[in-house]
Amino acid sequence: MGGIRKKKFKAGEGAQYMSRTQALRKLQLSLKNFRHLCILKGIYPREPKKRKIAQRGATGFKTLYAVKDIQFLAAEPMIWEMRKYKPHFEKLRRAVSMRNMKEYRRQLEMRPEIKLDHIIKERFPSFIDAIRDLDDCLTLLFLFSTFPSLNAVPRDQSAMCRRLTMEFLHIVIASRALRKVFVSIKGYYFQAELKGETVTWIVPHQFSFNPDSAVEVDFKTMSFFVEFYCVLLGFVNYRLYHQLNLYYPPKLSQLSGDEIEKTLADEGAYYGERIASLNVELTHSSGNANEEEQELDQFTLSEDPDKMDQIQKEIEHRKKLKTLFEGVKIFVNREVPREPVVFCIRALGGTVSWDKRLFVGATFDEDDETITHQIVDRPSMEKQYISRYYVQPQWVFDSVNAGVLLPIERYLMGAILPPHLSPFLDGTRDNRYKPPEELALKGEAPVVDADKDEEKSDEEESEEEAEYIDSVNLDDYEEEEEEEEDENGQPLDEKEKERLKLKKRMAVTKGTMEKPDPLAKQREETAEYKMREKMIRNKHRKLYRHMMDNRQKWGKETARLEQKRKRVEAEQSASKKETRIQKKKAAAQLQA
Amino acid sequence: MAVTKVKKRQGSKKTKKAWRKTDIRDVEEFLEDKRLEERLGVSFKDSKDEDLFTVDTAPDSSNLEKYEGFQKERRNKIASQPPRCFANLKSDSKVPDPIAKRNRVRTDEERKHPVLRLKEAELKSKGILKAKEITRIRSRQYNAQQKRNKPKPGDFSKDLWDEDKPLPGEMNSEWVLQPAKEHNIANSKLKEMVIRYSKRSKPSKIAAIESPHPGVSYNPSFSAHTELLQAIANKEMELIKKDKHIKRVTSNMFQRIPREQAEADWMKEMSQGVPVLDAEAAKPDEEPTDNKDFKAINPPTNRDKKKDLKAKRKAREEKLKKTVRERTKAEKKKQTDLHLLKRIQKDLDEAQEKVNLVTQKRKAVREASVGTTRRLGPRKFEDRPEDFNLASDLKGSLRSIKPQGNLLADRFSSFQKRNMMHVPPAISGKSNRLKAKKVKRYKKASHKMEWEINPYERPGYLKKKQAQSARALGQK
Repeated sequence: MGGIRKKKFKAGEGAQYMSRTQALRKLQLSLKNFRHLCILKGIYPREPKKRKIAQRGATGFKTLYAVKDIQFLAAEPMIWEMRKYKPHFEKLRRAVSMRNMKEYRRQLEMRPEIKLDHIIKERFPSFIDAIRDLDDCLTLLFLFSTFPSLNAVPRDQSAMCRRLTMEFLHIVIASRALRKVFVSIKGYYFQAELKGETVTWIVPHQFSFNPDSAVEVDFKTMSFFVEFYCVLLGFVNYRLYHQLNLYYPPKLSQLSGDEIEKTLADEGAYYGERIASLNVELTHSSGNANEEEQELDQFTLSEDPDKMDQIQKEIEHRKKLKTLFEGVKIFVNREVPREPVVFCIRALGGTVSWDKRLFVGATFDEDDETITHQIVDRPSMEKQYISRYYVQPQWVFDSVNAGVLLPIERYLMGAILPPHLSPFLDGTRDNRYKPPEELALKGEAPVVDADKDEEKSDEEESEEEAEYIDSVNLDDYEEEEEEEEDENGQPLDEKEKERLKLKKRMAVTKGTMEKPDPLAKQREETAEYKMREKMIRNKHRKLYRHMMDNRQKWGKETARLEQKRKRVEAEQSASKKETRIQKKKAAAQLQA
Repeated sequence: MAVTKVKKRQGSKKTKKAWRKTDIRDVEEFLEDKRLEERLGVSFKDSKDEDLFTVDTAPDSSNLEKYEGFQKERRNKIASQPPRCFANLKSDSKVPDPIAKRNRVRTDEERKHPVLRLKEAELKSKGILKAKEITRIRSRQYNAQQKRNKPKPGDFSKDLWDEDKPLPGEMNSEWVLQPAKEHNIANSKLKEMVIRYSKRSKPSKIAAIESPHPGVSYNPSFSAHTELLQAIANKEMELIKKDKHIKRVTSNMFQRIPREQAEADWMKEMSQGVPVLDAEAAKPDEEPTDNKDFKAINPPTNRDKKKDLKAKRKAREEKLKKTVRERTKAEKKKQTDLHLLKRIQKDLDEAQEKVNLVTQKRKAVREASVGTTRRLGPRKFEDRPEDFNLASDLKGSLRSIKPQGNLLADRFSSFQKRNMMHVPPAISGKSNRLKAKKVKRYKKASHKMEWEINPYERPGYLKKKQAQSARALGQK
């Protein structure tokens, strides 16, 4: 008995957490600096299992941090630089209020700078980790690149965002990595595949910045995130450029002879604009190093042939997608949002240009006769070239998602567009009924040209009609009965018949190999399957049942809808046929 | 106007005290004026009109030409002159400086002995420097170096992931555990390169970019769009239902009382016990009844009623007997309970099962909540409502798209949803926008108009005013 008295909260949950105020005191940082540091280092508040104990008996909800996290922060040498901020800003303020501009400038130069290289390396030990975390980074940087200079967002930050994002788009273009596009009311969703990882990001619509919308957001915090992500994307860009054998910062390979323009603008702006046009070839450092598509082994030891098939299909699809717009020369009209359209076309191998006065980087004019498509978003145009198709921008996006160049009929200028479907649907809806149009959009079913289909069906119908008419005429002749006849054409007598029959029965027939019962195998498989179903853990049984029920439900629904479609189509074609026949009859009568 | 003359003090002027009381302001003022005239040169009285005034007969065109033609020169001239704001620092007096020759303090260099100066120059020409100078040069070089090494924003010319690997090959395998790695490279230069904390799991399993609902397409299919609207409507209806419920169990639970009645009630309540207003209070108090039945809860003790020794002993014995009795009873019960063992066991088992069930449930809940949104601060996370376009806003063409939603707020909320940030405290829209520092505002006295000035605000103000008025009177 006895011994040292145990004190409360010295072990367990109570000792593992720390409130924010305690953390501030421990790290000797201001709240602003602490937030900054946490965001840079990737330390977030935590929720304890037992909140009351973690808060050392205090009720309510405190923001808690793990003690280990704070210790980790305390070991960061950057903290020393952060502590220099306060006196630095005091000196700056003093210099300004004393109107001592010389001193002010001197202090500005002495501003404590934080280097983030080691933190990037620390948070993303491998390059793949960094790529996996790119979604957030890209979306935020694309968003900030549209911002004007604000109180909490310095101008150079948004300029930097613009530069880095444009450079990133060049990577996607150079490696043909674009996979999906979706135009939503929020913005453009893009998905690319880099190093085997899918990267998704959102690009806002043009002119979407609304100063009122910023009210509910803590701009300073977001700016910290942006600061970190800028550095991350910078280093990712550097590595990706070098892996593609491109120079970083990017160098432009062919510059048109507009030397005058070059002298007019400053160099940074000049190159920045051309890179932002997304229509210039970047210089390769040593040969073109496009990633070689790996051929899949034919003798892979996979058990599931379906899966293998699917993988094969995916590879084929990707291969096709990479050269989707190759050989297509597209002109983008003025009213079409240039950046997303140009990006999609360039990222899949197309050649594209626009009005010279719209943006720098145009490579050919509208009157070029070799243009195959012109993207327009207006109901009609005065001057049209006969050598090209005039299509709406959705054709580009839908083609990317389908993986094939969709027939342009439904996307022609002024046409009512088919719905723009999301390519980001999860697999759970796979069992649902998909109308053939949707399948065609996804490139899963052979694309049937609507007009061709009609023509074909017309032909078929006419054939059918002919048959019908013939059959009516021939009815009388075909009703003749067929009689058994000898080779010679003479009838056989009864005895002979009997003999032949018996002979047949006596003959030795050739033995056949015993075929394994196909049903037996199936039966066995079902039995095994049922066994496996029984082995499902209780924990997952309900979920499994729910899943299977749903699947069945959707299966039934699909079958029903398919039937319905078949019926409706049949009815339609029947009615068509009837009208046709009637027309023909009427014509025949008229002729008669 | 009758001039009211300040009455002169009569009497002897023998003592200093008497002289102090004498009003000599007029004399002083006169002398002051005299001195001013002296400083200005010639007195106004003595100067001629021609000196003071000129008669303009024609416009001064020469000056104008100068202005037009040589504007730049003029500006340069102005710039070369000392600023006008320093004019009041200059002496405008015509009285010459009484000390004709003033000494200037010589600089260090001037005070130096010429021999020493010569020697220093010689050393310098030979390249022999003082320690002070050497350190100065070194520190200058060092600072320049620091400046050069400063990280430039936007300079990413380094492959971070291709640097020398911090660990030797065999240690770099993923099979080697972190503690082993740390052990092997402790006290080595590599130590700082060890990334201990890198393998932390992400704070949540929610995707950074959640896949969009197909109904948010700019040109959605009919079914997807209706599905989206339906989902949003359902959510809204739930909210309305919740609101209704809250209203029902709070404000609707209380009766509404008309204003007159409320006032009457208040009057009645407040006038209780006031004989003039309260009828009941006005009644004469009834005579206090005889409290024959009154009995205290604890009747007063009496020394005569004290227990005697016998009674005490009896009570003791009773107590002892009682405890013995109870103990034997308990013993007996233990024996009889033996045959209840099974039932007790069953009860215990059941209780245990219940506990197990609860723990299991809790565990399941905890497991299910891994990677979901947690509560990190005082406020609970609320997901942003989904963005949608009404059917009337869907024009079916990219040109006439109506962008919806706020991507920035979406990102901000996503960080909260993924446990990367606590939900910031609520801010009412107006107060946030006009979030100015609380500053006490006042007007500088020098910027106030005459009527705004409170004479008691400044020390000495009143006195000065009085003196001024008195002087004015004196002049008249």
